[in-house]
Amino acid sequence: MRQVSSVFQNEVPNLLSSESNTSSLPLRSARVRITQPRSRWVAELKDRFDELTALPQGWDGYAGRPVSFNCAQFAANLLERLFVESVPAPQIVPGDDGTLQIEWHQNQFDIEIDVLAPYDVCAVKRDLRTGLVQEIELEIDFTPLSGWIADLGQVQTQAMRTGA
Amino acid sequence: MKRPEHLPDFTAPPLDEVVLGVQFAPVPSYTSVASRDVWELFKDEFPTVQEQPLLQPQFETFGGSNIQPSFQFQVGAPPVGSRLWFLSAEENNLLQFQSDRFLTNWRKHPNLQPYPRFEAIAEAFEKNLILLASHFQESLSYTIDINQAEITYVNNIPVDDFNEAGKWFSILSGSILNIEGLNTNFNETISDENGKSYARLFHAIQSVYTIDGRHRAFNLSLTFRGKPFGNDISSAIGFLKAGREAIVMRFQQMTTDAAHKHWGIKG
Repeated sequence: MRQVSSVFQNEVPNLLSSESNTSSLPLRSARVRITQPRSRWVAELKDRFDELTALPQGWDGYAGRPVSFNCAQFAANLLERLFVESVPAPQIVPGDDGTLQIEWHQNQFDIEIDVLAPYDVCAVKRDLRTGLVQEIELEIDFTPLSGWIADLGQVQTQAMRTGA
Repeated sequence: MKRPEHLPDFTAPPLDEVVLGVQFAPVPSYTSVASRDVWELFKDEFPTVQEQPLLQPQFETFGGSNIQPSFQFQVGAPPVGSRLWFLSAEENNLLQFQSDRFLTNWRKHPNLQPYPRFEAIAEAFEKNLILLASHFQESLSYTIDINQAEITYVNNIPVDDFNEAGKWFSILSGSILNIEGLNTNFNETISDENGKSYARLFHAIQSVYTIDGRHRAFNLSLTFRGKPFGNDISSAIGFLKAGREAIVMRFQQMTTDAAHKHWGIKG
């Protein structure tokens, strides 16, 4: 069999799609597909993520730790997946134990997502109009959260139409 | 470890590389100084060391309206440290280690070798992963906490012309297209018996050239990645076995009967 170099693919630009950022590691290693974030949320929150992961030890006046890189990476991944164009970027708040919280407070809705670790997430939704509170624990499938964000987007769109 | 009987088997599969790996919660307070002790665990079998850039964490999640697969996002200052490659003497086998990853690669090159089969690769990987986890426990008081696993099969299929794609890939069989080059990526979600998504299977087909540019081939890469049901080694190995089955079944479904005959399908 003829020897084929997968590394050589990088030297044939017409065979790479415009959005592919595949990187061939040297010396015939496994390739890793790298995709860049596309959502406005993650772009807007980049500096905030940097800030929270660089917090000094004891940032809260006690024993507070900076947000862990793993939590931040996972949260960014989650936000990219949940992105809805009509909803503004959330606030991100550090926990004192290296965790972080993603929050929306708008149009009579509170949504708070606690990222405790990768694949360990708790979320709460409060509808301030009805007093209804929902709480869920999530690992890998974030479909329920997606529904909450979609609701928020719908309310946001209606509010913009009515000028509320 | 025994090969499942229902899986298709080939005498000469076009496999070029197989990668098995796990990602785990980073070892707390790990520094490069500790890497020497990690190499000591494996150096009899993997005497050569190389340094490579760190791999960023990757997380497969499901749900949401943005169906883009997992992406890499640099948070904070550029990461310090490196990923280490421990190479076997003949350089066909490789271990990759960094403070939150452990992978093994079997490669057909540089010294042409027959494919040792998944069972042999997985057994060796499990043995080495247990060794690493025991070292973490004893030396660093850290219990390995696996949050993701992945398996990749890379196939190289030599062709005379890329227009032969339909001869090899059933999804292009009967095509009237006069293919000049191919670069196709798609992915599917994999669900458990309760219909719950837990992994993603990535497909990539590319037309490639040999180093001298004179010969052509199709590169078919299949990667199965996701979160094992538990965070221990046996759950990760179970996940890799499931991934291997999914990959081999899809490989058979995606390729033609004529291709199977060429690769010596058994039974």
